[in-house]
Order: sequence, then C-alpha cells, then structure tokens
Amino acid sequence: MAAIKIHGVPPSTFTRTVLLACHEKGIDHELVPTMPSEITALNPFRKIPAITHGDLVLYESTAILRYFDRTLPGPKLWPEDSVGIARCDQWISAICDSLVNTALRYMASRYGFLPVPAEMRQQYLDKTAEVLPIFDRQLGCTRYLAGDTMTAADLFLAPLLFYFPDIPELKAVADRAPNCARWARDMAGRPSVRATEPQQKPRLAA
Amino acid sequence: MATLQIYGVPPSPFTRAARLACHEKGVDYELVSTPPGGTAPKNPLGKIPMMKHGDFTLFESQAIVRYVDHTFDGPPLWPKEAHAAALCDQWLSVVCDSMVQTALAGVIAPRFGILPGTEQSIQGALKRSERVVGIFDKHLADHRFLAGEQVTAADLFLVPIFFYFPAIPELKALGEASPNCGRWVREMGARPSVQATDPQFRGLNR
Repeated sequence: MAAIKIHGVPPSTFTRTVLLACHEKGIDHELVPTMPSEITALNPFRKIPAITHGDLVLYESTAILRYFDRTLPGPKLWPEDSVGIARCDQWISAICDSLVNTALRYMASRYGFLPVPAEMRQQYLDKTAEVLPIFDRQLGCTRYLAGDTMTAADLFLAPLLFYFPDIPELKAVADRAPNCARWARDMAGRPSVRATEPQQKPRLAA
Repeated sequence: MATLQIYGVPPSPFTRAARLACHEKGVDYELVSTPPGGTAPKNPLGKIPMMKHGDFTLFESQAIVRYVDHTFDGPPLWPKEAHAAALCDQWLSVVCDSMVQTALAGVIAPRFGILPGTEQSIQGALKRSERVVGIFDKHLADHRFLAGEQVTAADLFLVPIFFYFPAIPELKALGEASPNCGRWVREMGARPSVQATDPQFRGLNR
C-alpha cells in the first residue's frame, strides 16, 4: 500500500499536476477517486486534490509539489539557484492566476461546470487570447518555462494546455502559439504525461 | 540607493505583502510608485508588484516574497521543518486563491470601485466570504498564526486583505463575528511592518 494517497480525479488539472509530479519524481502513490463534494473532511475549502502522507493532510497543489520536492528523493522539480527558483515560482503563479482565471474558467464554462453569462464566457476567451502569447514568447526563448530543464512550472501548464485542442475556440488560440505547440510536443513525449492522460474527458455542453 | 526596488502602489494588497516581507526581514528597499498596467520594467501580464534586484526583475508577489526570503538575511518567513513549511505553503495558497476570489475580488475591489460588480454579485461573494472566513477563524482558534506559533509569509498575505474589512460595513460585521480572526488582527496590527505599510486607502469613490 502506497504511503502517499492522492485524493482527486484524473480530469482535474490540478490533480493531474500532482500525479505528474509523482511520476516525474518516481513517488509511489495511490489515487483515491474523490470529487470536490466529497473532500470536505480533508479540505474544508472543498477543492481537489488533497494528499495524505502519514499524519499529514495537505491541500493546495503548489504546496503539495513543494512538499514532495523538499522531502522525497527523485529529480528536483525546482532549480537549485535562487534566480532559477524565482523564475520557476513566477511562472507557477502566472499560470495559477492569469491562465487559470481565464482559460480554465472558459473550459469549465464550456464543459458546463461553471454556469456564467455568455458575455463573461467571452471575456474569459478574450483574456486567454491575451495571456497565452506571453507564455508563447517565453517558450520561444527557453525550452521549458523556467529554462532549459523541465520544472514544476511545466507540470502546472501541461494539464491546462492539453485541453486546448478539445475545445475549438481554444484550439484556435493555441494554433497561433507555435512555441507552445513545440513545448506541448516535447512534454507529450514524457512517460509521466502519458501515464496521467485522463481516460474520461468531460464533454462539451450544448 | 536601496539594493531592491518594489514597483507598485501602497493600496495594492499584493504590493503590501511584498513590502511587509521586506520590513519583516529588515531589507532596505525603495517603493517605486507604479499603478497597475504601467510597470516600468514591463510585466507582460500588466500586474503589480514587480521587483528589481540589480539587473534581475521578477513579477508575482509570491515569487518575490520567496526570493526575498532566500536572498536576504533576517528572520525567515517560512518554517524550517518540512511539515510546518508545507502548511505555510498551503495557507499562503488558500489566502491567494479562496480569500482573494471571495472577499478581495468579489467584495472589496467592487466596493472600492476598482473592479466591476453588481449588488447581486457582491452579495454572492459575501456569502462565500462568510464560509471562507469561518474556516480561517476556526483554524486561528488553535493556531496563534496561520502556520503555527510564528508569523510566516502566509500571515503577510492575509494582512492586506483582512485589514480592509473595517472599511466595508458587511465585512466589518463579518470580522467582528470572527473572534479568533479579531485576536489575530490585533496581534498583527501591533507589528511595526504592518503599521509602516498602512495604505490609508478607503476606495476610489470616497
């Protein structure tokens, strides 16, 4: 029985980020399928994923990845030098703020999880189209978000970007981002990405 | 000239979090007044604060506070022990997600005239704020500060949001109904860092 249990579901982008980190670091883990409505005992804020490790209950995926990287062996998910660390942290925040509040909300509204007026949905899409080029420019300068090696920042971007092709309007945004496409091909070749591919994807709402 | 520049404006909660970190660590810094959208070394996402240290520029307040903590002497802003550090990361992330999405973006910013909002959207956000603040209040009943007995980065991100509560009648009432948050506010309010960064701001409309 694995010491680390991950409570979440594979289609959740943040659950996938945590699963990706386990695969990249070679952490033995068990996925306990848990929907947000079922997680209250572990996370009163009702968000997935959460993990348990011995006595420790931990939620918020950025905190979980940092905990893995500090305490468990395997390839490092953050650079070693302070400037590299800061760049990695910066891109993680940029994803979890600017891209999550635009692209992820757009996806959630298209999949019927987030009922919002059409006008607001359009704003999410317009903002996504403003924000993605910033990532595209960075990936035109460096192979991965924080430099020449893959870091935690890439593990936050991958689950989001891999949904873009499934939604025509987001696919159109991604088609104008050639460096993101090159990065997505690089990432898609990783065993961690293949092992965490959601078997069931949500369907677009009518 | 100070070795570190923070680009932002005092009323911005995230600018204040970055400044609080500098004050707590005793880092000599210069605040370069920069409204959002007009950052001097341009943040592609148009957000404040930004930090400049020599020729290194960094955006995203969490990344800035972590960088300041790694790079400068002074009291550490994260606990050393791995579980405590993870819980600090967790609470920091909860502040920047759940608290920001409800009380800050949903109530404070529209009431201050900074973000759009309708009376209906504000009332909805107030309901969600009550739930979130309730969880913080319960946590602060058993913990002197968010991550334990010491002030950490998590507290520094909560200060700028909680300290706006008295300016908004419904949030003032919510704060007064949350005795443990009230105790925490009094303790934090006595700190020189909190007094030195008081924005004296009560909204654009007043």
